[in-house]
Amino acid sequence: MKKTKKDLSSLTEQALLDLFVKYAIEQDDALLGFEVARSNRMYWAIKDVTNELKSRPGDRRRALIPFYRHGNPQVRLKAAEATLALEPVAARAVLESMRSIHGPQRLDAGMAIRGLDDGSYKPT
Amino acid sequence: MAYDFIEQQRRRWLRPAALWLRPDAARFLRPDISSRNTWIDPRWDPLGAAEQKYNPNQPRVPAGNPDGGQWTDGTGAIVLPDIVVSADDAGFGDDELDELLYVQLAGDIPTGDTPPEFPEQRPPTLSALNRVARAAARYFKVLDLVLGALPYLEERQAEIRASFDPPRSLQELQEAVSTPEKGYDVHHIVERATRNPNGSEDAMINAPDNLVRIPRWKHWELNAWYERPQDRFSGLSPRQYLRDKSWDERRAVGLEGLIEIGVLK
Repeated sequence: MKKTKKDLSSLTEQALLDLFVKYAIEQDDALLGFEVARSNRMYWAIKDVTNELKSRPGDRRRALIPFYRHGNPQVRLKAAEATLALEPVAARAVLESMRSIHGPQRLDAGMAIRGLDDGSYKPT
Repeated sequence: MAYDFIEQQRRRWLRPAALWLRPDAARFLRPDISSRNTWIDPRWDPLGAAEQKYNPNQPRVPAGNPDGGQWTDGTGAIVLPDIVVSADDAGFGDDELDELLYVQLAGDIPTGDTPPEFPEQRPPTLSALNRVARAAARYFKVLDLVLGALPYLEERQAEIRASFDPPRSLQELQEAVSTPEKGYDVHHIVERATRNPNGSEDAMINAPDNLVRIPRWKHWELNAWYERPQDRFSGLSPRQYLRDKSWDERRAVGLEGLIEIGVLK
């Protein structure tokens, strides 16, 4: 069940990271099954977790960087997207690595890179 | 156990070797060079490197010091000899040893996905069956491996096979529209959902120029992407973002999507 923003503010960083992974894996499952509504719910759930990390002193989205090497490609993709503003080169390299995979992350990664290149995507 | 070993080896061998380099690679002779030639790049010349390494005048730490007699670079720091670590010495498995001996070059991100769990029996719903089939396609990467992985994937053979099609030219994709085939769908480059509600674009939407035949899974994936919120569009879905954009802008995004999903050359 998705946590409310109030719930998130009371969580430890580790608990937030656990939620990030859990939601991203669920989103991957939804994407593989072409379940748009469930995938979109997870988009917002991940966004809330990411925003909570961003609001903490020092912008703790940085704690997502180790997930660049996670075993689930959706976790890698979401970690890269969430940290593009902090680590633009490394995060982009993660996206580039997904541009040729045989799965739903390919399109998201490729279109994000196009947006970065044409300036329509400005990560904050 | 046997599966774990095979999986470990598969991951090791599928790793893009060109993107991994030993930090001391310059000490090794390139295999296509059989003798020392004058044109040799000094970085590949092991004898030259060895000659450069030994310097009889290199200072040593003075006697009486705990490190007395050891080579130093004159700054007080001790120069350590190269250490050769074997798997047994280090007590590491091969993968861990690789991590020690090799440095990863920029641009190489590991894509060693955790093996998915595949149910032995056919999943009860179509959605669940698609999930398994697509997870298998993503994991095994090779058509024959996917088709042979689970007997019940036979049911999705047309979709799986089509999803492995190589990219084609726009003309080829447009011409294929007149030949329906199992596993493929007709796709609108400029989405029907973004057409002008006053009907002024209806003819263009359904014109041959706007239609391509593409693998069904790619078609569904593109449709799903158009409905997904995107950071690039400040949380709007591409469909919402593009609704009031020009025909050309929508077509450009449609073509980019076909390229990125691996359908269009």
